[in-house]
Amino acid sequence: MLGLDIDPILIIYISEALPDAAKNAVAGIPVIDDLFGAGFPMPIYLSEELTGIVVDADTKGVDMDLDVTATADAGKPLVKQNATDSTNTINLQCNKESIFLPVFIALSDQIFERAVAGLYSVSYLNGATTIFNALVKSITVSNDNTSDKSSIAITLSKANQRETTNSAGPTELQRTRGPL
Amino acid sequence: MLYDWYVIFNLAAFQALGLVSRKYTYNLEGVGTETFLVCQGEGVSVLFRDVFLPVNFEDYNPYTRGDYAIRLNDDGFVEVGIKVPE
Repeated sequence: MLGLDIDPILIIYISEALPDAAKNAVAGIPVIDDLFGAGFPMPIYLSEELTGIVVDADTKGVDMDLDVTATADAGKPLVKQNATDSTNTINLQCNKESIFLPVFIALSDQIFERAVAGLYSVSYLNGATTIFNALVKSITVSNDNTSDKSSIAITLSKANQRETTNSAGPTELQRTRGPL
Repeated sequence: MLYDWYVIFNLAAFQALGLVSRKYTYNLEGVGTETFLVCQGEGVSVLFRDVFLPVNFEDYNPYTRGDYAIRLNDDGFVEVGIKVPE
């Protein structure tokens, strides 16, 4: 509709992905040194012609946590609500012969190793749906034995772009030591 | 026999809310984070570490049970006590 004839793209950014030997080889070279030190972005075009991976559907979801406490006189209850997560689930279909399928699985393993340290990020651009620097909540790759298709489901979370609420934690209570 | 006392909530303020129950989570000095479940029934009671501590139970103030105690202080605040090991 907007005349943007651009394939959807998934960019997986891996920080410090290179071994030390490779880093040492480029150490001291202007620009290149900085780029290698920062890691590298790995774009995957979700195009049937280019990579054999296509977007089947993408879904946006917002999770809320609701805590309702009733009152004894059936009055207005006490309601507390927290935003839990904002996610985008992307369902991809791909041909088993696609060379990008093993690449994709390898990158998901790289993400798994760096999940705790947070040394990765994923961006996704598909028309109106654009997500930058998201966290991976889950990646599932399913092979269908009855056809030549594989399906990939990725859930991206934007939780890292939100500030935590009530970060101060519970109130400190001072003790008073004494007898009964 | 010594207890470490912590002021948990104001009894009148809790009763004014008309709530059946409410959780209070605090970081207790020397203990760490603990949750108190306050329940309104015939009277007001506090469930702390699986021990049920009724406020002013049978006119016992403080009321003790095991290593824990509960009392209503002169300012109307409910305090929970944890026995100090001797």
